[in-house]
Amino acid sequence: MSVAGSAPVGPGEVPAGSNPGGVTVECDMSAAPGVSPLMKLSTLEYQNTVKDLLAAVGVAKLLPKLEGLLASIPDDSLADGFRRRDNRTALEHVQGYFNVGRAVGDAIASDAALLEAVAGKCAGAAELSTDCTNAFLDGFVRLAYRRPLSAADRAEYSALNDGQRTPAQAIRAMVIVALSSPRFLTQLEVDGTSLDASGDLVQLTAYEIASRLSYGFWQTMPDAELLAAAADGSLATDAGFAQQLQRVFDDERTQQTLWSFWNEWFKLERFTGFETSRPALQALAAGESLGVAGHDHYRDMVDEIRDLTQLFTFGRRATLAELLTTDISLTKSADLAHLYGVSAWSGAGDYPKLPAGTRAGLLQRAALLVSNLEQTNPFHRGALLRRSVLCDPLPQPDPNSLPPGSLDPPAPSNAQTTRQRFQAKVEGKALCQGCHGGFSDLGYVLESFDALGRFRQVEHVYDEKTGKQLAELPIDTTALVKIEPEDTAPVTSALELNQRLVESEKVEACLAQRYFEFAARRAVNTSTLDRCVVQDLATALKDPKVGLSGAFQRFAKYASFFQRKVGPR
Amino acid sequence: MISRRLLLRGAGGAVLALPFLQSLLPRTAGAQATTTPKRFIVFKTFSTQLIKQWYPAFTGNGYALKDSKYSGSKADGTTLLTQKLAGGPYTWAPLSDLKTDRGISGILGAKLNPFLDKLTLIRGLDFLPSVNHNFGGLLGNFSSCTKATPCDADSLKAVPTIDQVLAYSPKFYETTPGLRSLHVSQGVTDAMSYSDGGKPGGPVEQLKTRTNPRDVFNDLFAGVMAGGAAPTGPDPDALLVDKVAEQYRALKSNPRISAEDRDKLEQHIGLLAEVEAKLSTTTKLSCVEPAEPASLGNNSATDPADIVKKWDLFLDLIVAAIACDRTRVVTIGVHKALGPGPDPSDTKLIGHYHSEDASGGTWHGLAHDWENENSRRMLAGINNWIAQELFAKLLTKLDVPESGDRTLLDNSLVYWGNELGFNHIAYSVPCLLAGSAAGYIKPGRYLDYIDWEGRSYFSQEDGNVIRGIPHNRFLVTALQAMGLSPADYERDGQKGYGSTSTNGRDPGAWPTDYDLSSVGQVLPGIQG
Repeated sequence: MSVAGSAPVGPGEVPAGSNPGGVTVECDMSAAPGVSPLMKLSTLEYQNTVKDLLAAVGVAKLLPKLEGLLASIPDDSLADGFRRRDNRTALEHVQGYFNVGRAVGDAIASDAALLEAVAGKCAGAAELSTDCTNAFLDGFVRLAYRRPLSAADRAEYSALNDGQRTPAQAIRAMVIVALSSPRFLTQLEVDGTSLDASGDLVQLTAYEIASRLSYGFWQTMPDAELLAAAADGSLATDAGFAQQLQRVFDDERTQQTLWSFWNEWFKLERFTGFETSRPALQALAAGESLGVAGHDHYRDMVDEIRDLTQLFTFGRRATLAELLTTDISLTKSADLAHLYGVSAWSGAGDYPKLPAGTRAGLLQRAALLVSNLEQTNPFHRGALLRRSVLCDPLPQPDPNSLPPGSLDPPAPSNAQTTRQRFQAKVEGKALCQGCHGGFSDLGYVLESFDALGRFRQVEHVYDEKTGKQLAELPIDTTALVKIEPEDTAPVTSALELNQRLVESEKVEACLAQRYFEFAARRAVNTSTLDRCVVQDLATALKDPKVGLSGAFQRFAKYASFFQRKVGPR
Repeated sequence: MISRRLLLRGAGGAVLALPFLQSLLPRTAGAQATTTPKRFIVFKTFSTQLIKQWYPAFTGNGYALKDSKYSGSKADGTTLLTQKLAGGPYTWAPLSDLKTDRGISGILGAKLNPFLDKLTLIRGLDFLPSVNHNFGGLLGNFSSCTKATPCDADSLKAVPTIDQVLAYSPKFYETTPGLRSLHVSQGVTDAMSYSDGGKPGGPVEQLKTRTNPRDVFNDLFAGVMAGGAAPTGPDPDALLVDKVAEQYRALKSNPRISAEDRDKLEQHIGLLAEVEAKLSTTTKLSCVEPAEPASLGNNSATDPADIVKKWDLFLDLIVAAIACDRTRVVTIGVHKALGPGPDPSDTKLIGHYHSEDASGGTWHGLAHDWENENSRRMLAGINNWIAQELFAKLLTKLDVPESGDRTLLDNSLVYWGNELGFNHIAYSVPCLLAGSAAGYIKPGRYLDYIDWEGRSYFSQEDGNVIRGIPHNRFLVTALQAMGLSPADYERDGQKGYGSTSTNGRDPGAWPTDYDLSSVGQVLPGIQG
């Protein structure tokens, strides 16, 4: 329900039922979204917020001294798929937050210029006046809270100006408390109005919407313009929201955030490097400068994924299908270009084209194909496609329910290709085929790429200990790939596999699901409106008028973006 | 809330309210440690051990191999123990009997020889729940597979790992410590420990590791008086922590906060109490404060120099923390180590990494590739390096006098445990203990809890699946060695600690018929 043109009820408030985003979803499900738990700021969000807050109040020069303390906040884990979904709080977090608060408070209290920057000249007086306190609260603490302070908030902070503390000590105390407050450390959404009798569904305030936008796309606090749009009510109008969403999306910080999405979706950080001490890998990589000082092939490969996704999202505003089928090579790395058999892009002009008939699109770039060793692992490649790119369920093998040795790699052979060795491991074994029948074939087709991600037509087999070439074997990339269970036509090449993946439109559905998880910071609850949102996003991803860029923005246009479903009390 | 606080006059003449958050902490008010403290230090390695390299394969001194008595897979080339251990079909031998110039086994090398009378080598500890890669199994949290790789034990109720039972026990810490527990690792930021913050029945959450030595130093020693006069009273900033806690408490009653959210807020309040307690610590160090290390950021790389440098710093800081009694609980996740490379003719050691979910690096791959002699050589080399360059080094640093004839090591229980057993099988999970927990354990022995006369379900190159003894009994041993009684750790009417569920295991394929009537008892014969 859009309420274009209607005035907010009060500063920062949004009329019940508002959807300034304007996108509605035809859906027979309950209109309520899934439950949104209270989330801490991710560690990156916290670090960014501290930096932006200090910059906003004019004390950015403190930041170099804080680097060590900020870095001591534990990293979030990828265990739930995306770092921003790690909601665990350990002592190291809480201690770290407090240490940062003390360091900021100490620095401000001990430096008259910094004190004046955050609290005005009045803080230099013998006593901290009420006006001076309020000015500080309306500055520093309002920004830390990302909304104006309530009367109760003011009373609470004012109590720290107790006559025992000097003005500098009082400001210091307020800084410390604010920087450890739940208002600062969590994405708190409790101020809106109830949309149902139970109070389970809440319309967010404009300030909460501003935070959803800024944390969602920038991984930091709202800037002055967003807070102003919340304060003057424009953020709650169709036009005002659209303007802010576009501005937020066009900001470079959104590119960084969406790169986090792609990077974590494809698990690119989990590659731990080529094992260049292996003689066999050295033999495979002869002439590639792999492991040579000053060359970092994997970094170049990851940079290529980043540059491609950014070009197709922000540069060309293309569809996912176009990204999945592009034949351009935009790497500026001579090393990666050499692997591909193309010229490095100069940084201007037309992009070189990948050699015809070798590889296609985003999913057949080296970063998604490499392995640590000299050998490929078709199971890993197939599982990555099935599980991460197609979002099909694929359980991990349970060693307790498999015959001994089932999970051990196939024995080396100079008479069999990697595919033949891996196939022999699982074929004809019902216990294995239950899962392998669904993903191994995807990996076999990708055997046209070696462990470095290079296109190949034959497989070289090397002695593990010496690196001596033992055999040169023809590869076979034909397999019955069941992207959908009913598929019956075999695929003969990686190019054809890519085409089938694109035609299936399952990658759009998977991206929609994963992006929902990333953006909403929670799992999709398929018995709620969530499912409809994911379906709509998948549809939008196929629409050339929407494209990747539009789909990423679209998440912020559903009614659910402006609401929070509270879990059972 | 002010009425609940004592008032005192601070150094500057200001009236200060004593913080009350600390009343939330599990401690005996005003009590001081009157006995020499005990420590629990956990050392964890990943994927598996090569059973025949981990355990002695010694002949001589009257010892023969199991092959002399058994046939088939039971003739596994390891030393046959003949002395009977009371309490079951168990056997033992003095470790000193098995000593060679190269150590007591292929992995437990010569640098452990000086400590043989302080070591306890254990064989036959079985994880009863059906687990895969996991974080907390070795410490009793068998429901910790999910974030690594799913397993049947995922469905089990999450319980705190035993290090956290100790960390929040008023018996273990008579007064609030500088740091309840320290968790270090390289590369992986998820700890092996799970905690309920000392609130039995509350949510159990996985802890984080420290991966930067500078952070470890700051956690342990930043702001602690190294000399001069002790502080005269609690830090006034403790009152600010109270103020923050009041905000969290107020938020708990907000109608827009769910029960799950409330648990999170409650947990945060508990952690604030820890922060406040640290501020209120008035002890000054009676030991030599270690030098503050440079900041060394975390990474997933395998640069040997970086790996060695960090381990050296971590070990020094851990030992300083123990010596200064800043903490009594430490876990060390050995996700990175040095070991031989794939070319047997190249003696240069390279770095190896075992990531949290086993997805990266070849360390995990080597464990799967046990049929490959070259992989076995590398895997044994990695664990031999860990034994000699990490574990033995830690023991050396800890083996300094503390009280009477006892050293820090003697007063500790250092537990080298494993994620899994052999070839990813969670039976007969290798275990090496060091120290005696101030005389609780009788060390210097190799204890074998496998019922060698029992059924061999199946075997692989590296071991047999024959019924041993529930690993739960080791957990009980460790808890009691640290001074706890069953009433301090038993929950929900269940004897002992940790799940004994064998759900998901086919009784025809795996041992499942354990004697659970004794699962609440310490390991037979471990006290001599």
